[in-house]
Amino acid sequence: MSYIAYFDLVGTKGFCESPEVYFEKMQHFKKAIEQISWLVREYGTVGVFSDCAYVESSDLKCILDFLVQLRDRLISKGLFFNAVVKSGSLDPQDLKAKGSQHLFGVAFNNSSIADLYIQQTKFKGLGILIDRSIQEEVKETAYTMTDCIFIERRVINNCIEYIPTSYKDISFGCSIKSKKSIEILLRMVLNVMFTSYIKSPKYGTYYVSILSNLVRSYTQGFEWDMKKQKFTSMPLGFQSVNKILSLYYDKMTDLSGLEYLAFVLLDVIYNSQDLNDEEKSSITNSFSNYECIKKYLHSLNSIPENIFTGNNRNLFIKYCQDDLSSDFVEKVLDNNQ
Amino acid sequence: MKREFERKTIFLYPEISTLGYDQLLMTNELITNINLVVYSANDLIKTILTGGNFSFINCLPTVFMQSVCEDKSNSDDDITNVRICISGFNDIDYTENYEKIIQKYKNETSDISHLVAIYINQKATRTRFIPDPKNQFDVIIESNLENLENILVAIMLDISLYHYFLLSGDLKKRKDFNLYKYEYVCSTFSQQDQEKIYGNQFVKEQKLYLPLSLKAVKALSIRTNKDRRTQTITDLISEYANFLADIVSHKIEINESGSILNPNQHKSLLHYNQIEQIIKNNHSHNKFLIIVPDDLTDTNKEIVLPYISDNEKINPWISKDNEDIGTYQIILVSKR
Repeated sequence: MSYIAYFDLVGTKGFCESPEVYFEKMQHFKKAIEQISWLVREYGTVGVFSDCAYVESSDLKCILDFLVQLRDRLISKGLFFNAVVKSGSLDPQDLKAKGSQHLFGVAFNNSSIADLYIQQTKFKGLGILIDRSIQEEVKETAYTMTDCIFIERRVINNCIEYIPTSYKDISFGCSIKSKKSIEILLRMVLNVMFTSYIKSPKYGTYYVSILSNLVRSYTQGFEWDMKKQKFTSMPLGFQSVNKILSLYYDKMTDLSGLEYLAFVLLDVIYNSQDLNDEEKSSITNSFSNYECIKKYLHSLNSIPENIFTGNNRNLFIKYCQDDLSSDFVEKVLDNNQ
Repeated sequence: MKREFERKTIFLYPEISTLGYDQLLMTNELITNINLVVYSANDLIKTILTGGNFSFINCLPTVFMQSVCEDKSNSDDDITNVRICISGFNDIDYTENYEKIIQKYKNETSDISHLVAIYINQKATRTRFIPDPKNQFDVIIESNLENLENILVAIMLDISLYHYFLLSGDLKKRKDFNLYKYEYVCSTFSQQDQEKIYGNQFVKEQKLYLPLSLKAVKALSIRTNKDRRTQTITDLISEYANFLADIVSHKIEINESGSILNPNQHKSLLHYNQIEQIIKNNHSHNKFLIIVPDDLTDTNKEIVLPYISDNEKINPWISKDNEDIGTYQIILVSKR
């Protein structure tokens, strides 16, 4: 069995506005692939054309090592790709090998390329989408998968709607471990995200996926102060997204899909071993003030199951009911008000 | 006039085809992590230099990181003028990859005043500046990745401060300047501070390249309060100015009546006659500094400062100037 991946560099159109910037970015892309592709030398091949590439490997670990290292390397240069990896074969054919001097390029003689290509073009996020066909096998490697979301733009009844779609990505925690590197990685992502968002909210939407992965990748170190009703410690990724939602959500309402990140945060909270039930209830209470949470209070069904799992959804409803209903009753029956 | 200075940091890794899978993984991870640190260091340098503490900026240095495969003979990578080399990672020694760079530096065929080796050791809990036993590099800095940013920022700030005070571009003078910095650290930093900042206590005989800014950069990395950060940067500029007053100033001795002793040794100074007069007018002080602009005019006058020990002595001069101060001579006058 073989594994195949296809990816392209996101934001290339934007680089084209300046030939120097385009050249510089393409050089980084080319160099990163040149250096990292050696990882698949024993089990497969990598084919590059301009800002996209195909990979095939008979070893799953190799193709994942390649994709994870390339993802991290590109981010370290402010670049992002969207990749899909699944089972299949490419059967690449070097057209130049036929002896023609006027022709260069690669053709693929296997139909699995079609599925791969379609899936990749539908993936409107940044990262590595792990196809269902290989998820069980990935669990057996050293890599941890995270439940992430990307935002799909669909036209329904002549209206544009932004639909959250869940997918599995590879945790950043597998490769980027030191506190300093995590901090810089976040700064880099937030910086490029905001620049892209300023250019167009549509571009900003791509970053919802990587933010969801960053929140899911680092989930240790929560501490909640019950008296002050605030975190005294939390992972950096969580902290950053929490700040975006509490400080910037009303200023970035045109960045579709940002609100779903609030449920990723809650899901992480409910899964945390660092916090007890009382603390989780108290955190829910503070989160229920977020506009983005209020918006979905009566339509939780529109949140994908993988993002906010069934059990956690029930917990959320229970905490909200307990809190909000007692608040409701108290206020209605309060003679002083 | 703002000039951008790139200071090349290079990681010359061994021929890829010779590396095993795990080594390849490790090498690639290292390149990514260094890239991240360099990005962050450049960001911090810019923040410090444009944060308002510097009255003008005539040099905005950036670290330019290159990772080059040692066997790439056809590479487009330009590996000349490299100042900082990643010479090792944990148990792996890459020093032999840098032979050509070292040779060029030793032959003085490049315009480089210092060649620094950075040995990244993830087990190192503190940064150490150690002499190179082979005498190839001006210093070997042992550090983990967490502290690498501070080192790069300190080296870059030293460059920026050198240009801030408009010192000479001459290679010999720049090399001498590094030696002065070393002497300054040896003579003015307490042994405890030397150990705390550079992880070593130094002896004057064994000269190393030491970034003077490291003390402030380390302090900055633990300060979150805006005012305290601003104060730390002000302290850094003062420290540098003090150092200049002490070390690179032209020293003149005078007698009780204000006459210059051994005048022939000083006649090469620009505006010598005016300087002689300034000294006469101020000879009531036992020790004083004169800062003489090269374009000395009635409006662009000299500045005379009494020599006060420690931090206060040159600060009035720094805060006085909100614009480009031009080129100048610092003269330290003392009575015999």
